[in-house]
Amino acid sequence: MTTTEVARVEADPTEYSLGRRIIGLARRSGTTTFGVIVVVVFGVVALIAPLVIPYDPIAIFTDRLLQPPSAEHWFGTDGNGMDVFSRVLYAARYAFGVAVPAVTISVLIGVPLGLLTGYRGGMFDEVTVRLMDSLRVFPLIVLALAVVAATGQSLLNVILIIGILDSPVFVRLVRAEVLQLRSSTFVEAAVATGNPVRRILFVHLLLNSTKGAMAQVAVRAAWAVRIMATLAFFGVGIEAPTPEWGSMIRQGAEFMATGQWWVGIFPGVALILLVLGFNMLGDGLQDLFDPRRRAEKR
Amino acid sequence: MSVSRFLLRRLLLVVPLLVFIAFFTFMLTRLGGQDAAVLISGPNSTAEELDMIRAELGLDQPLLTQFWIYFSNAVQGDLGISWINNRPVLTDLLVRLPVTLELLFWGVGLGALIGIPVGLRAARDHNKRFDQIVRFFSLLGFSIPTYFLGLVMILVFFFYLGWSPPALGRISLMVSPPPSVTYSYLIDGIIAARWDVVQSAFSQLILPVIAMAIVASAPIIKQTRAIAMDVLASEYVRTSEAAGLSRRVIQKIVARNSMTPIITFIGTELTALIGTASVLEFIFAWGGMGQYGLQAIIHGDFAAVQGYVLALALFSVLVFVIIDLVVVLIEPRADLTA
Amino acid sequence: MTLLEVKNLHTHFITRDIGNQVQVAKALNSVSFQVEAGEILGLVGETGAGKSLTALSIMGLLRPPAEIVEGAISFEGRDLVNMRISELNKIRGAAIAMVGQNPRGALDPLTRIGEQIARVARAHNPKLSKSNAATMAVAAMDRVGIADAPARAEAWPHELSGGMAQRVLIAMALINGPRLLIADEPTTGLDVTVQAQILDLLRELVQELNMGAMIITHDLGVVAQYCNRTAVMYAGRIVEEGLTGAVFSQPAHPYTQALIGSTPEKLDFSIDLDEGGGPPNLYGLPPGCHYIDRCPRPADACVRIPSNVAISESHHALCHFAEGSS
Repeated sequence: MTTTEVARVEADPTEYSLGRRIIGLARRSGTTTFGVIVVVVFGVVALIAPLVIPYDPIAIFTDRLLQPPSAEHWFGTDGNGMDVFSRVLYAARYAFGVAVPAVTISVLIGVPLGLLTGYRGGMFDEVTVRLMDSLRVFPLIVLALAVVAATGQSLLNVILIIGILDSPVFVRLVRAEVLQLRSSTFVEAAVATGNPVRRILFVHLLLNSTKGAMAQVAVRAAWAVRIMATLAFFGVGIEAPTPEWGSMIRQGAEFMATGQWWVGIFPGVALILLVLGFNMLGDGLQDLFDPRRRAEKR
Repeated sequence: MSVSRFLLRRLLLVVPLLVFIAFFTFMLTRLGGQDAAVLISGPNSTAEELDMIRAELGLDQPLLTQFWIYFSNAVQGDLGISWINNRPVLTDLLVRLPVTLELLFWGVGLGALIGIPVGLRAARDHNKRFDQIVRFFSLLGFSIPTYFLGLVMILVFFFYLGWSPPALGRISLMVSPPPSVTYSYLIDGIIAARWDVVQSAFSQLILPVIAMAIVASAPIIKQTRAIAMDVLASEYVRTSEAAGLSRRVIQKIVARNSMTPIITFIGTELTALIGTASVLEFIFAWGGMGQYGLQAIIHGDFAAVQGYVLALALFSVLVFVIIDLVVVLIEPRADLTA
Repeated sequence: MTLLEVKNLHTHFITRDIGNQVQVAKALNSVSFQVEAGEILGLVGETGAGKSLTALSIMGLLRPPAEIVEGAISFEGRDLVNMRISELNKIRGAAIAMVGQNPRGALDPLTRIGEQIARVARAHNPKLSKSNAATMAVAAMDRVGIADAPARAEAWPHELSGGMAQRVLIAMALINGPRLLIADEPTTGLDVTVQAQILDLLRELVQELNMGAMIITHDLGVVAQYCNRTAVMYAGRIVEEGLTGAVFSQPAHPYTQALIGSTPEKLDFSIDLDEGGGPPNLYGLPPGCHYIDRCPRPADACVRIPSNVAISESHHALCHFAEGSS
């Protein structure tokens, strides 16, 4: 037996105000709300960090090496005598500074490529898909490490590499949507009523396939932050005194076994929080945009 | 079509992929145009020394020739020499491979053992309390970097609680290793009936395996839940409900029908998980392929990097083929000619 | 004896949209009917009228966001709506059985069909041994006309044709000797010849075992040929009900009239057919008669819900103008 789509006709236009709807949205999805709050907070911190941090993130205090958290240094100092709190906050700039451009690159490469391969089909599609599938035999982290290590330590490199390596996700997503829509009846209907095919595909496909991509953007941002931190942890792509959570954790690793936990834990927690925020945002968005998942909630 | 013919066909299809992989990993290390010769002999070498090294390594040849040399050597088992320790890459990799596999096996095994039932239950009770908690922890699992998890575990269990030994490898330095049969200290210790070895190997294994299991369980739980929810929504589950079958029987039906996609998923996830294992090896000084490879990447040991990445890719390809085979064998719907 | 009595059943789909505002689709409204032993009731209507939903409501198979918000369903006098699942499981698959559409999708892909039938038997009789259950399964397969049943019992579902799979499902439904059989679109997707075979089989079994049966379909031909009584559904309401002969020869509700008038034999292209229009919006049903938007003869009175007008002792229609409108 089937429950038909006929029964699920869209509701009459609602008279809820925008404010009420946003509150309704927040109540509906705790994960999205949490995600948004975390990302926004970190984003704000990233923007205003230079103005609010108590110390210069790369200022060295040779007389205060490895000091535990105190009133003067909330997160303590690290092995070089730098203030951990300032560095943790400042590192948010690098997180966003890499994640935002990297994901943008992924989208700018992936979405058009997905549209193209889905629409054109044929050899071009075959080759692209096979190429992307072949790359799936390599673990992403290792690949990123190897490529960045080979191409040199620069932030631009890191951004580019992460952006390129993450684009297949969008290509696949958009391509799948395109393939689905191409054979759907409403496209047939549109063609039958005389719309030029190219315009239909462009407008309809762009609108419909980007819904799924939007939710992915948050998830990919989470990955970008993670990968960058991993690169920094291994000393690849980020140079020494730069405050970056990954390299801070690396330094902290040396002191983990001797009990100076603050050097590595604070940046780690910050990293986890931001990645979690992005992940929750992505999960919540996927929930909201998938009507089937929405229908199961009460 | 018989199983062996299916296997043969599948393996043949894989050959172009292997060539591509070899080419890709080859290009990987040539990407940045870093001069390997400079790396090897140091920044203060004279131009003649550099030229000599280049000629020796064949770096003065056109790229495709270099690749051909590399490829033909590789097929015969010569993956070059690591310029860091001067040993053949292949030997080093082969010795370390079982070590990595041991960690991967126990870690992913534990992760699946916990993750699959949790995922199934979350799907069954979906949107209730258990499910919500599970989804949160799954997201958390996706958000904790592997190395950080390892480090925190060392901090807590070694430094604060003193429960686990120092993370200095697979076996305590005070215990002499058993004769190498499987390269797994745990198993070799059992074989040789050396209980001090077994105990030490086991206590060294606990922390990295648990860390691996935690990281592996996040995707496993998420995907198991999604798969099981799909199965729960299927027509035949509804038929079973309409026929008055008990909850337990229906749960078994759901679990069985979820297994094939779950196994397939874990197979594809192993690619990423072996990367995770490599990171953990690095943290725990595990001495496996991962630690070797990551060190190679950091120090620019390009022959070793090539070998490592190649090994990872080959592992993945092998896993995919095995999974395909397993699916064909256990699925009544599968067609060997497909 | 009245096997099944559905009284005033309301089943709604309750969801929230993006802005967290509640949306209610009123899929079933005030549905009432009865099924007696030894008779076949046909429930007919267009797609989305709520026919399958009625079956699901009866069997307790509704899943969120669908739920029964009001009404009573009783089987042999026992209330089904508030019954606990453990109790309900003793009834469904045994005393009440259901056969759905999409027969091949309805079978567990990883279990051989003999075992699937046998486990339904074992579920309702724990003392049954595996071998006895297997024998019963083969016998059931034989009864529904599956040739070479003992060998076929080892087959996998994907090896079966649509007709064969449907027979298997019927065998599953019958194995515990049900007193009520609900067949939801039992012939959709099947060949015309196979359709006839399946329906003949159903009728035969009903007569032989004195079961009550309910056939849900959108095919008027099936209803006309196989059902003693007919209930017509539109927008979640039963708009007309009565003996099949009466309903077909003297349809009293405008919708029924349009349905019967739209069969190919009766289409007369010279008449301007007013019937038309899309399916009703279940989120925004009109407060009065649900058919008002498509009715060829709406009047002022139609803004009030019509009552069930009795045309004869066994023939009712939900229309202000039912009497004398045929």
